[in-house]
Amino acid sequence: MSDQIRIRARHRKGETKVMVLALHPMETGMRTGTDGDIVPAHYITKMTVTAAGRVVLEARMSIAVAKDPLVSFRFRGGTPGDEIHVTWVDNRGQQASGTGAIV
Amino acid sequence: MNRRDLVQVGGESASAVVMPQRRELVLGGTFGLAMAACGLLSAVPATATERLAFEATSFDEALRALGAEPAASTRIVLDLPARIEDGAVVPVTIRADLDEVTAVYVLAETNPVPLAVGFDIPPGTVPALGTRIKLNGSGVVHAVVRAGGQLYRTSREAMVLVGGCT
Repeated sequence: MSDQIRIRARHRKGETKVMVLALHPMETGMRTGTDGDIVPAHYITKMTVTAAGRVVLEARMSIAVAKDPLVSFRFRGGTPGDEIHVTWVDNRGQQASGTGAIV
Repeated sequence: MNRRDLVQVGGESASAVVMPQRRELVLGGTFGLAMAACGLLSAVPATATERLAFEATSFDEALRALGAEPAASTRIVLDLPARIEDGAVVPVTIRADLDEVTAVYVLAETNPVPLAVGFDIPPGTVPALGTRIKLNGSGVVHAVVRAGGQLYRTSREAMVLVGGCT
């Protein structure tokens, strides 16, 4: 679902600035839930960002990344209209992906 | 007041972790909301080297797993808030004015799993990144950069009022 991943990509002065927000609990596996049980670890392990099909960033995350991981970076080049594609996989094997166009 | 022991049960592994003693200002009240920034669980699909680094439970071990001792560099800028009210969400930015940067890592000495995140930087991507991490308590945060095959690092002291680890 694209809602799980929000992408903002803006091209300016030869560079494309990208901001990705991935909604995810990033549970550490150390928190006690309201039922008194430990909430199992549940966190994104890898996130990949491509622009027009080319990988522009890959992030490997631990439980020490904050809830709803936010990543911002920039790369040289990029053309308005190009597609930024983000996918992530988590420690439970769940995946999500989203796309956004460079403006 | 020092938090000494944290016993983690459940998840994929069970271990006892002794939190390093740190100078911490601990305020009551919002502990329940703080997320644990520590832990020993790791199922990170990455190179074998990096996987070991993510499983390291001490900063030195994590560094060793990443490679040779990084050289201190003044060309890496690591930014953190001066005062961190809540260790659950700490914005950090890393900028490296080095050639041929291929990877950027963020490590927090006070987290039982010190390696928080590792970024692969393909050619064309500017080695200037921002993200948000959890910090267990006050202590040193490091940015380690792989550039031209060598490791470099810089560090900042973080003051955390309410740790991200309960």
